[in-house]
Amino acid sequence: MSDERTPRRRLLILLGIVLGWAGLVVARLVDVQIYRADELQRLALRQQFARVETEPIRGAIVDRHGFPLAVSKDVSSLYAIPGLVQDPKATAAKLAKIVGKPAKRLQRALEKNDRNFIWIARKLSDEQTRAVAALELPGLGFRQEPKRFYPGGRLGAHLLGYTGLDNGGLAGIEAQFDSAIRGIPGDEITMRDARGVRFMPEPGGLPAVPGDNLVLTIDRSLQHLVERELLAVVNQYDAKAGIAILLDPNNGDILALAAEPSFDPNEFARSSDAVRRNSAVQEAYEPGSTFKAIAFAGALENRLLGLGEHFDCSRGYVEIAGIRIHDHKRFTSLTPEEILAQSSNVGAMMIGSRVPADAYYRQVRRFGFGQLTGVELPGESPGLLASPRAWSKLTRATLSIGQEIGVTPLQLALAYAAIANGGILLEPRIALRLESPGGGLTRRWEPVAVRRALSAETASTLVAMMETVVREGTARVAAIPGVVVAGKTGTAQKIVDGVYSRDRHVASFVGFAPASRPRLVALVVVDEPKGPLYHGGDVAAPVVRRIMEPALVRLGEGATGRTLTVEHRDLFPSSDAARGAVTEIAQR
Amino acid sequence: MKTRRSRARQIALILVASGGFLAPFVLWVWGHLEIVKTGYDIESLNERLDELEHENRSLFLERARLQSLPRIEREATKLGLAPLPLDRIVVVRQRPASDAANPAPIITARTVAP
Repeated sequence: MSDERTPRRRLLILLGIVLGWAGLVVARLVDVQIYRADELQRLALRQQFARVETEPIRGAIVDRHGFPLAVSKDVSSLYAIPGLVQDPKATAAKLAKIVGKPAKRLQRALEKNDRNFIWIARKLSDEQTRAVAALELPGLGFRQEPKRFYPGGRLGAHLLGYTGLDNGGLAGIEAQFDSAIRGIPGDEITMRDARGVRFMPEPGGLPAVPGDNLVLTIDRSLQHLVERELLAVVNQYDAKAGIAILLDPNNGDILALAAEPSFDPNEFARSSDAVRRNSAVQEAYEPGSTFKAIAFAGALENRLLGLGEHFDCSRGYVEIAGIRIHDHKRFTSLTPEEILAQSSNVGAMMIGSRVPADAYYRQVRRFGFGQLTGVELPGESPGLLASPRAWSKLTRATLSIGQEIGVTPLQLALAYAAIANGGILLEPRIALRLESPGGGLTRRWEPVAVRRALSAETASTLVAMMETVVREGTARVAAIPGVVVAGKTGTAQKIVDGVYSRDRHVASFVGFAPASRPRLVALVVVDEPKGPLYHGGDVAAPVVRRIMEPALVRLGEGATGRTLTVEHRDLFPSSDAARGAVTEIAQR
Repeated sequence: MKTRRSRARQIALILVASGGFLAPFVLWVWGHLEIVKTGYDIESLNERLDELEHENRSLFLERARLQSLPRIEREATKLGLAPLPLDRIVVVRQRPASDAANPAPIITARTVAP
């Protein structure tokens, strides 16, 4: 009996085990497939799919001829997973030498085992990357990040600005046009295998959109020329600072803009905020005698000045509202032309005092003073110009010699551009166009005429007067052989502790050439030149000549040099015409 | 003899039936493996493309650095070269086919034999 039952019992036990096992499998299946399905599916997707955020490449900034001024390139950033670092002390010591950070600080960071990811150093150089990679240390890895490079170093630093670690523009053009040149980040979705290797691109990701390339009005050759000459004069006179601007008076194009002291935007953090400020547009100063032309314009426009008049400047001073203001030297009787040529303060104040306050104010405003020029650069200052209600009895006189007003160098250069071009105040243009990475046009900036600042007749009169300034006045050193230059010098006393200083000056000169058909306006301002020579005519005017002369040759307007235009198909030096010109000059 | 022939026919039938049954599965596996292999190829080519783009940008940057005017001026000074008198400069402008009125300079300064 028991022998017969044993196999059946064993069978039943086996069946029970099988059924139990099957039941467990089914229960597990129900658990996995139904109850925890969503959670497990999520985990699986996370393991199999990788979503990688991709940084866009920032658009390049190039000069008007296409030379790159700012470009981006991917570089390596070094990170660590502290839990995987075997010997934090030794690792930190080795890394410190390469990345230039204190070993102790790195060691403390590497010992933070509760952290899954820490940056060791961002945006390493290629040499640093190779050196770290050669160490083959566990727990370290690289991530690619775009970095901004300025191949010209200091060239155009105050204009270009710089970018931060996150690739965003922080100053200058980089900040102003950030949204256009930054690009749009994307994300890629890919499948990865058990080793984490990506092997299958998946649809659904968005590729990063590279930023547009920005073409500036700057000419890098002229920019270099302007920077070189400005640095030379600042060093020569041991000056505190200097500013130089080169404009095209026909369309408002800023061809060059420089400030000293300068900085290298590749290492902008090494310079102070004050050095990085673009003082050509962000800071106002008292222009001194360069403002006399504006006062003359007010008098001429209101028909309060006759060109044949004579003004008695023989006393060497003038008393207005009980205050005696001296000339820089004693003159005799001067015509308006002579007053401007010799830069007589007494004569200029006599002329300026003729213009009613409201009319004077309107004229100054028409030249764009006391308001933003509209230049596409961040932090522009409108300058300082009080309304006539706040003017004292002295204001019209002092305004005529460039006191009681604050102007930015760019405002002054634009006002002179208006005189040079026949009376039209232009909006300064810094950007020519935005181009997509493929070369298509995204946006174009056209020249903008703001308003007529003065009549063509008044402009023509002022140009003739300012030619005299250079021909036989205070700016004779600005003369260029074979080219008629017009302009005005300025030597402004600086205000120190509320009074005009006797030994601190701002020397300046603003001029344009050729006077009859101007191609360039150049302004040079030198802050606190030291030594016996501090007048604008001695310090700034020669710099304008040194800038203007080669610049005009480059533009084909110089009296010297040769310009040759060849057809599109003629490629130098295979062009017979080009060879002929070179030979001709070589034989001279 | 007859039995052996019929058994062979049965085996052939089974093989054909199994083949017919397995073929879609084999084809599916083969196709899937091809997709995976192509995926690896695409990723590998993408990586190569990234490398080449990176190299291209590096070369572009290097060219821009070499063209930097302050650098060229420094190097020229080291070689003992001096600034050219302005009357010995020839500016050659190329008149573009599309913009004959406003030729862009192609050479800014060119030295000539003294």
